[in-house]
Amino acid sequence: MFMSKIALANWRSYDSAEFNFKPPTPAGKKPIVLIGAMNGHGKTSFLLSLYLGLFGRHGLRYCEGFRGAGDADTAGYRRAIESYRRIGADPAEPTQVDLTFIPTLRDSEQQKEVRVVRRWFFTGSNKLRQGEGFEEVQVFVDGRPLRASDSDAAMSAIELALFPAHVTPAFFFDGEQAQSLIEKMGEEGLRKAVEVMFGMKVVTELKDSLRTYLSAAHNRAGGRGRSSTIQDNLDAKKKEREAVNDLMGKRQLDLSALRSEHENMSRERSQKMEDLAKYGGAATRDVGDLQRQYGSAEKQKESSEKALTVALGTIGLNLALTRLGPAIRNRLLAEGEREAWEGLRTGTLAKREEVLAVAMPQPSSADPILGVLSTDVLDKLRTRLLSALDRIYNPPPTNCAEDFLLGHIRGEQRARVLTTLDQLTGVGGASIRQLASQAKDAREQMDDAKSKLERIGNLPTEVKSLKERIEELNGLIGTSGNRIGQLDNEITSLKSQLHDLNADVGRLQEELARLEPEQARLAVAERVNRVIEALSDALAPMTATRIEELVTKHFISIADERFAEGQIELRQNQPPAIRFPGQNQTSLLEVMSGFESRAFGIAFSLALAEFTRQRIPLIIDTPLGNADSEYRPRTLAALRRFDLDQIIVLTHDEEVTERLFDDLRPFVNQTFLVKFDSVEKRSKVFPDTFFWDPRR
Amino acid sequence: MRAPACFEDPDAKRLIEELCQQYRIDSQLLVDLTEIVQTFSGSGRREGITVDISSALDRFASRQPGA
Repeated sequence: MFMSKIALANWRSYDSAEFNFKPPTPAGKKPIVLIGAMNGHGKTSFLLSLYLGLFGRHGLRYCEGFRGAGDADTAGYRRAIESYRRIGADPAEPTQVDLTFIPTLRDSEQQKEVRVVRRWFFTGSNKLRQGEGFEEVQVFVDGRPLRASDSDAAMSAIELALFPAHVTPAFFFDGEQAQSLIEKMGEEGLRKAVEVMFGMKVVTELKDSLRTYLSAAHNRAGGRGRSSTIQDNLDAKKKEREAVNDLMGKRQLDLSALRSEHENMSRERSQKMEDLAKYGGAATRDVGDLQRQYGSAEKQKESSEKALTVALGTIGLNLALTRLGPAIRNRLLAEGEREAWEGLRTGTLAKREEVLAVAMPQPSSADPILGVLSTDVLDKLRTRLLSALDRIYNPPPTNCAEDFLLGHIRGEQRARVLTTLDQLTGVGGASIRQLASQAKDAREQMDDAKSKLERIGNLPTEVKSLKERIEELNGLIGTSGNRIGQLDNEITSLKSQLHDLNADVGRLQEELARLEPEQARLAVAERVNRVIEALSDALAPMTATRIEELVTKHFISIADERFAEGQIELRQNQPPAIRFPGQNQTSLLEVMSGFESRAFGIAFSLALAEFTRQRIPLIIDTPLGNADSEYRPRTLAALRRFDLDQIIVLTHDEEVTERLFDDLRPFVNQTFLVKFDSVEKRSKVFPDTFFWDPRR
Repeated sequence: MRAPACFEDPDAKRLIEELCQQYRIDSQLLVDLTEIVQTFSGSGRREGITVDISSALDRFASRQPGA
């Protein structure tokens, strides 16, 4: 970047003057612009116009006589502007500074052409107008005017487009001011300048802005912990759901296995019972059932016989009156016959041994009849006799009943019944028949159960084993049934829990989804914040080290050989010092000779420009000052070597002497000579002129 | 508007790249954010900076989905 033009009107000794600067040479080998002026002819006025033209009241603090003035020192500012107005200026004409800076190819693409026009308006008595209307500032960026509501807004625009006001003295300064830079170091002035120029101030501001942003964003998102709390809750719910799912899976497997086992046991029990039934002759009966059946049939039989007896006894009249009366009578008679027949037969058979003993007395050898018979004949005779006895009552008589339908009525009881029947003409035949049939059935059932019980009682031990297994299975099936019920209940409960957890997870996920865009920004902003904090922490020591190295480099190139091994130290809140190898103590630069202090100031400016890569023009008023003949060429050499687009040196004829001018000539892009015309009372600018012919 | 000088210094640039990689952001996001801060710096105006920062963060998110 270079300053292409500065136009001054009614400014100190200038009534209307312009400096039109040439663009830098393409190779950048001729950065030097020499403006020669004798003392009091306009060098300092030129420098002051830069401070106040660019930054107005904010530049006042860098002006001789107003150093230390604050931004709010309006009275001081007005006083300064009035004192800087050209004496004898036309009251109708404002005091004006018009500055233009143009970027070069070596500047960043973002750098724009900037023009600042500042005017101050006066009254007829050449006093500044009252109120805020005494000053007007226009800012043009790439030729387009910027809208600035007031001078402060204009100031911000200028700082944004060019550089901050408080770094100005590091680039635009006079030799003495360079010396004062050393004093300012203790007040952190230049440290701040470094930070601003290097971008650390922006980093700090970004850190503050991010903190504010994060705080507001967290509040919008419901507090710093809200999203993490929701996420924690969601994670916990998911974990709980997973545990419930696992448990339910296990329980379902248990239930499935238990049901399978239950079915197997049920099948086994059915099989065992079928096996038992085969042994017992019935499908599912066991001994107890048979005993109960037997008891029931016995009771039925007894009750039926009793009822039949009573019926026959009490309703004999009715029975006699029925058509069945004769049949019953005949039946009773036939059974009477059978009873008599069986009695005779049983009696005969009971006495057959006795009859046989009479017929064939023992021993047979003593019997005169039998004694002659052989044993074989005796046996055949005995068999024949027994067979004959048996044939006495076989077959039974024809009127004898084949069995006992009314077998319980015997002897005299039968005779009484027959008597009663004979006496009665009718009887309830159907009822009697039914009761008789029931009694018969009960007897048969009882006999059947008794038979089975007898058979079961004689069954082998497998039945016992079967019964024990069935009993065992009954217990196991009962237990597993209970457990199946418990598991069913537990699974139902787990399903309910799972349902609730799914609802919770869904709700929390919805909450997070609502916060997601803000959360994504917050997450990135938090990371940026960490980067900026780490960067901020690292930049300070890095900057201090680098600036010390660069200041040392430039200082040594200017200072004499006594300082060749020195190392500049810039400590916070301490004046700059130089340390020599092998020395514990440092030497303060402020107590050194005047030009050594000035050399430090120039070295610092060069270091700042190099370190911050700011291609701001360097404008130095009387850089050489009281430098001796050795310092002067070294200082100018340091300047001409420096990689900037423009270095404007304001000098009188004793600084850049003719010999130095000749040495510098290859690096000079342009010269001006300013002369104060004592007749016209104004400074005049002569381009391409110098104290010595620049063309020779 | 130019990026802060520290973004161009070799040592600082290396440090920035390392930090950006560590925290999974890109240096363009830092440049965007510093530009926003510079725009509002010294103006005394704060309204709008939150929206601009949000937009820069969203642009980063669209450049690096899932970052």
